[in-house]
Amino acid sequence: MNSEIAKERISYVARPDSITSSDGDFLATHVAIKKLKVLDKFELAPTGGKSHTEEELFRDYISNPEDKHQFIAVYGQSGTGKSHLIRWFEARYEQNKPKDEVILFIRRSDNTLKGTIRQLLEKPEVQGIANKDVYERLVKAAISVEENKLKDMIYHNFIIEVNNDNDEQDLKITNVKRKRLVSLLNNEVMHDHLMSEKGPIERMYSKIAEHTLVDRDTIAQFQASDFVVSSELFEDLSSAGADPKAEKMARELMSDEGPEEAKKIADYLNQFVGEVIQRCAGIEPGDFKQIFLDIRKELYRLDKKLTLFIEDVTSFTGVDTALLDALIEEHTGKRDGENLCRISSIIGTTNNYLQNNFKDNHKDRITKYIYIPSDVLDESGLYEFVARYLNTMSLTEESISDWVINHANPEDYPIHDVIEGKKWEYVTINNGKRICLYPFTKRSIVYFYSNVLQNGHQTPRYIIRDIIEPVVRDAIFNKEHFPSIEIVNVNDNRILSTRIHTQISDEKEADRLLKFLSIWGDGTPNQYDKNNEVYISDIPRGVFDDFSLPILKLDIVVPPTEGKQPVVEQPVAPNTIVVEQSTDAVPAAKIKKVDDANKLLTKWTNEHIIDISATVGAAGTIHSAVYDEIPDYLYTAINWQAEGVTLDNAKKVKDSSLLFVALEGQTKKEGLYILPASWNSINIILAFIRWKEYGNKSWNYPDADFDAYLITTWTESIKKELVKKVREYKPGKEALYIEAAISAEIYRTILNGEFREKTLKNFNSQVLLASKPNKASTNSHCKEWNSLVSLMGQKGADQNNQQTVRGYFNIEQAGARSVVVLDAPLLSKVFGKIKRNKLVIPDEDKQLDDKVKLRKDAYAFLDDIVERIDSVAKAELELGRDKIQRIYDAFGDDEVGEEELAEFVDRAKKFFAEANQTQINVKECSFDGVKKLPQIEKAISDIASVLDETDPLTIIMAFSGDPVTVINPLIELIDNLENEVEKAKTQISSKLSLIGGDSAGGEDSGRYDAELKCILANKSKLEGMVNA
Amino acid sequence: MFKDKMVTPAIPERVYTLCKIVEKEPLSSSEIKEKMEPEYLANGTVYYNDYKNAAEELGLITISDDLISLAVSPKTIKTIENMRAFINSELEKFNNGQFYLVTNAYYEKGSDILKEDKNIANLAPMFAQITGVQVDAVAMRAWRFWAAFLGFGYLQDMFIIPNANVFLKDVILSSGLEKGKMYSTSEFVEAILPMASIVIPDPNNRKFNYGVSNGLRTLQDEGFIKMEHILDQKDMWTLYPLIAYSNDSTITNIKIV
Repeated sequence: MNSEIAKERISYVARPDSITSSDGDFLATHVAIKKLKVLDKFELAPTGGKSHTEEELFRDYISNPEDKHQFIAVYGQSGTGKSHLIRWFEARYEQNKPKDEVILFIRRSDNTLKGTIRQLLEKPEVQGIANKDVYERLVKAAISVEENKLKDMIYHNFIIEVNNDNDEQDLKITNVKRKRLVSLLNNEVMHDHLMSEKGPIERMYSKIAEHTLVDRDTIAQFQASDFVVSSELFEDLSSAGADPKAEKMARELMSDEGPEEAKKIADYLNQFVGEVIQRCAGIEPGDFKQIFLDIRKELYRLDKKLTLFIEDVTSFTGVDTALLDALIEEHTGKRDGENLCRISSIIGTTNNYLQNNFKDNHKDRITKYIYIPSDVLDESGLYEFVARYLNTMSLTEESISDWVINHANPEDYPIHDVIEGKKWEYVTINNGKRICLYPFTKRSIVYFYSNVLQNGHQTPRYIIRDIIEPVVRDAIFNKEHFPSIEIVNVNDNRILSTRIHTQISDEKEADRLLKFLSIWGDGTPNQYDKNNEVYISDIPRGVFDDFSLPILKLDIVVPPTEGKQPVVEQPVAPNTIVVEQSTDAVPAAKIKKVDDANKLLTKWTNEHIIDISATVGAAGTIHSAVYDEIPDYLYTAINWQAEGVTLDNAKKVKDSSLLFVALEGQTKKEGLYILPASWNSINIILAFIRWKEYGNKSWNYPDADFDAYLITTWTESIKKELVKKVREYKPGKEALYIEAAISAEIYRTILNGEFREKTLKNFNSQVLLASKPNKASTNSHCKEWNSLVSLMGQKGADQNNQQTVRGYFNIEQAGARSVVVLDAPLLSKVFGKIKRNKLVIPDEDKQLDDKVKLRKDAYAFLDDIVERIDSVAKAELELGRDKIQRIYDAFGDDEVGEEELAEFVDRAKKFFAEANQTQINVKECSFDGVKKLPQIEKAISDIASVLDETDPLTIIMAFSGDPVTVINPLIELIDNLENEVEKAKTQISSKLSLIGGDSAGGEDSGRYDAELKCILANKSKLEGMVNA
Repeated sequence: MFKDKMVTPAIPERVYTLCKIVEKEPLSSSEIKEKMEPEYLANGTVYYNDYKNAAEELGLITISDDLISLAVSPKTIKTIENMRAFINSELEKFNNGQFYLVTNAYYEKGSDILKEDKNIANLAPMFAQITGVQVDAVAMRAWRFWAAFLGFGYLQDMFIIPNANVFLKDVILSSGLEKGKMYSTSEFVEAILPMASIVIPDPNNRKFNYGVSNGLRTLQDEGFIKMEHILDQKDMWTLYPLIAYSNDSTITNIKIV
């Protein structure tokens, strides 16, 4: 290569469209085609039969030795080199043509309709044709319509054609269907769909509008797929309020018969394509045919014959029928009484176009078919093809021109002076000339051809576009990073890859070398000496210097003999351990699965972003490794308890939405440890994938020994950081959810009456860890108290929290939780701190934004309690205050002890006894509720002790034993007693009034007056006697 | 546990906690039991004796008149890693015990162990046959806790992936090998062998088995040691060949970095 020249020349030489290159470059890059087929009848992809060289075909057919009317179709897949061959035929014929022969070569470089006509009119031989002025005006009239308007014109012209279809076309549809189709085409959603970038209107537009860049083999037609209605499209149509007729047709196109129906519609509409294109291009139907006939008439007049080379008949969409009609018309016939010249036509077309767009009567009139197979180049032809391009771009335009001027003789074919790549491979072409392949190796050419070019693209056009051009550009403009272009590496040799990455710390440099050795070389970790040259991965050592590639020391092997693979030498070390590789073959499908994952991961290392949310495909394979295999492994491989992380914590993290390990740039889900997008990370992930896929979740598969080593050594390298991340809730802040959980559990124990002491002093680990549920089914707590208890029980929050507390201090044995063995020192430390702080966790220490939900739950649970505890305490205290006041009022004292209570009970009992004796009718109250006076006294005391208290914890602890329930019988007794006393008083008063005591008069007054007088008289007498 | 039969409840973390409880003052067995497995937990089963016996076997505690005292310096149990290093330095004392014999056999299986059942409990008959002592599934389940803790490998569900890096690091640090000094591999092995025969049973072979090779390579990867093959040196040892890792599986010298 001469890169100085190539930098200038590459754009001119490496053109996928042969017609756009200069004659010199065209001839200099031409490789003789040897596998051509000749047929009398059309076959889509003929196999077998005799192969011909291009020279043979030229001699026998193209040169038209019998001077007869002929119509030859040259066809093959897109990019196989039809244009190239036709151009070569044309060039070859130019050198040998008879004097009376006029050659017209219609290029497709200007492949619009008007461009095509323009090419015809530019030929010097037709300058004198009739109506030339008219035709020129026609093609020069620029289409001044804006792009969108022109597209709309095309679209609506189809509607007009369908609307006005008078059943004159070959293909017909029913009247009803026609109306539905018009309605559907008039629908806005369908309009947008068909006008989309890859839609049919865009294809047709490209045939009318000038200066558009389209695939040269685009056929301007409707395709069945254009009319297949997906459910989404139907939904859009429907929701946009489609006309019922349109909706009906859309429904038909969506049904099982949809594809068939869609094909009918496409075929039907394609009948109007020619007319619509011509109308929109401003050309009347018939114009083109007339132009062509005029050309032939003119040539006949000049006594000339016409040989027509048409590079690509698809350029003639819109007038193709007219053109073919004109071409097949033999000179022996008469037209309008005028003579036509003899015509020999060689036209290029694709298989598809020939099959679908040539009517049968046209096909029947084709004299010969020349078929170019897709694999037109054999291996040596492929090397030569690439070499000639490399050579041509390394030669100045003048050198090429000189050669062409001097008849382009093969023996004079110029070879460039090799500036770069003297030590690279050479290709020998005819006459023994040698062309340097730099920057390719033969192996790399085959690799690109086999692995980079897609199926159907292994043709000259794509060899130029996808191999020669990008690789050469990379080599001459980006030398220090060569090869930098993205190439899928299907030769991924793990050993080579590891060797490189362990010896070269710069990952980019390592990747570059790996790519080079895998694609330019044989991808093995081998090196050998041959003819005083070291070969690394089968690439000569000297080659590496051209791109400053690092040199590695690889496994020394015996040099290959011609046609044989290198043989790995036996290791020289003594006592070598013989490793028996498992002979169990891994199924191809699994290998592919791993390879696909590898490709996606390789892409990740380039782009630093990856979406593995899908659970299928390559992303799904990686998803499984990252979401399941890696966390499951790390959970057991890291000895969390020995690392100072309780298993409760580790499990909570594992069960959270956080991944232990996430990938750098992973689009969904966060991770604690981020695997950088690097080669080493790929190896780790692939090791897990292989373990699952190859070994069915075991290490029993070939090369598992290395994978097992990889993941264990990786575990050790990330362990510290991962453990730290699990232990911490945020960087530098330890996860302290256990403190919240214990505080909440203590509150729960108090609120549920399981701990009934006034201080936490006696709240020990037994109370904490061995909950004894309060069996009382009813209580006298305030509404707020019971609401809080109820809230704590929602969704089992209280039980979950209890399990956290009990499980946290358990030194677990492989996750078994049934038997608890306490980490007593840890329990003592944490529990002591909480009690000292009186269950208070300052707001700033609350970890309510912990990303681990199960840890955050402890804080949320505690917060639910703490938020309400103040109002609960106040309400409970008010309730207690009311109750106790009732007692104080009844006793007339606010010091009510056991003695007072006993006296009260005693007096109450006496009251009932006296009432009974004096036959006062009262209902005796039960004293059952006040039998346990010490309890009542304690309850009163508990309440009284906090009457002036403001600390909610102290208050709820005072009420934990539900003292109101204890004093309620006393209050009830007081209430009842007061009622009965009142009743007794009433009765006594009534009796007294009857005896006149306190009577204030009434109906009975004067009843005992006589007796009273008598008594008073007697009394007076007695007093007189005594005093006397 | 180490002298005789392996039992699952005697896990290292429980042994360590017990040691920490008696670190400050000797306590009676019942007091310790009440701290770690108090009655109120109503476990139904008592594990205490299993881990207490393990701690005693390992020489971490002594029992006298039912009073349990720490038998090592507090530094030995300052961290669980310290305790691990201590145990690793003492393992050779138990070379007739079940744990030692199984570990030795596991390592001698080399990379073939990867092809065995992934549940080590199912490998009990195989190890019973290799070691000549009775090994049952329970013993294998118990073995995995200590094998993982002492650094002989990484627990993956019920399988241990051999990689002795943690164990080797402990014994290297306990061996008195000097930092920065280049040792011949034989010198290196000789220095660690009094504690490492469990995984290097036959130094005359000059071969490191799969688990030890993994361990040495991991230590090299983390920059703790550097293995070299110096061409003119004759003291050549062979690592398990991982061709992807290196094209040269022979080493002559090891340096503690």
